[in-house]
Amino acid sequence: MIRVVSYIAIIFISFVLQTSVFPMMTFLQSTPNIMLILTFTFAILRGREEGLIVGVICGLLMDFGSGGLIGFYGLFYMFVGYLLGFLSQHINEDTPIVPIVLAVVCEMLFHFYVFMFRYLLRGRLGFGTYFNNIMLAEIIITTVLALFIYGLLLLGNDKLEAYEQRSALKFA
Amino acid sequence: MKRKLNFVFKIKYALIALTIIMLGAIVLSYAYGEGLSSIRNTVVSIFSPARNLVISIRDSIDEDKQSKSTKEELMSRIEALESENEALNQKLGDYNSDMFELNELRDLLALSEKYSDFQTLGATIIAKDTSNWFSEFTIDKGSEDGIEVDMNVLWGNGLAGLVTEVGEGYSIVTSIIQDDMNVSAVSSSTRDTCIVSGDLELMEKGYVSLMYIQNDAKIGEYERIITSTTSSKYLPGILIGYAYDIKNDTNGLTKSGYLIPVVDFKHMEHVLVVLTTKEQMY
Repeated sequence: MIRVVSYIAIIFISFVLQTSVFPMMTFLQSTPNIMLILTFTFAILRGREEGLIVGVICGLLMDFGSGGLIGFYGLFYMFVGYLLGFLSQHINEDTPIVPIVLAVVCEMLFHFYVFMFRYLLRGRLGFGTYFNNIMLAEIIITTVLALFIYGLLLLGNDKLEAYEQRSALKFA
Repeated sequence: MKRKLNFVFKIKYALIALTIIMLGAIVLSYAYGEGLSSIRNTVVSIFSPARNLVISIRDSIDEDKQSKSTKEELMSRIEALESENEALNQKLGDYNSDMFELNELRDLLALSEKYSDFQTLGATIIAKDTSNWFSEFTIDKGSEDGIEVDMNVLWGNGLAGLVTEVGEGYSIVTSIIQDDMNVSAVSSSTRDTCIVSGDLELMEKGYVSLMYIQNDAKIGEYERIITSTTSSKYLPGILIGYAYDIKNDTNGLTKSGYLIPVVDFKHMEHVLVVLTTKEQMY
């Protein structure tokens, strides 16, 4: 129960941060993709089931927050959450290299997905310019932020798991 | 072992079902854009109070900054403003005489001031688009304030965008610089038609592309480009920007170039929504 409530609170705050707080800081050049950070973090820490659920919610929020097609981001985030969930048991999640690599890889995939379906299909070919102007800045800022958010969520997850074990023992 | 297998199958079914739902939603929202807007409406309105809170915090921080400037700064600013005021007063006199002449000529032409007195509504931008690929923004006024889809949005005296989604307490505006937006426009002096088309590759330089200008058109450098009467969604006569670097196309039939928009899309915080759509005008 605590887990569900805290997930909802985390996603809510992150969405407001991504759409309202970060865009105000115009000196940043780009807004970080916090929804993507949440999706791969939960997938790695908690496995494919929760990765899928968090991915669907984050992706649909991305869709609702923009005026575009509904389900476009949702589909991508869902698969990111589900597929990365397979890795969760084979990775040592305590190293800072995990969020860095994941943020870069997921961001590249995300941008490629948007470019393919929303730009290339309309005959816009300037991948190089898009890479320099949009992708690079977003990848860098998302990676930096991923380090902090991943660390925070890792700590919170450990605390929650310890709490859950204690309360399970009490009932047993 | 058997139990684990069961679990794998269950989540696989969920994945397949959700994939089908998502694909269905994409097709649905593509075909009937407004069919799913009630769902969007409920979801986005959950976030409205938090977004409004963020904006009010920003405004109070801005006020703090302003009140902390020193006396010397203020004095020098007053002086600068006074000298500017004088210059502007002088200009105003010139304008007044010009205006008088203009009104007389308008009366002669029997043109009523059809376009200059639209009712507008001020709105604050409370959120930007969720990704950096698109140029949409959310404003804090919605259906209950009388906002409808296809209303024009202005910043200063320039065209900023078009309302594309309306909900309770919010609406989503698509900027004219977004990659898939096109506005049919004319040059203000020669009335040569052209198309203003958003282009992500040019956005970083602060330009929009200006296309399909007739070969014999006489659009000069920095000529004012305004919305055309033929446009189906944009009200006529709104300033979009200034033409720049117009060259002949390789096909020899048309010319194209750049347009410098008058709107500062990166730094706008408050916008004006025109409460009349083009459809209602006629």
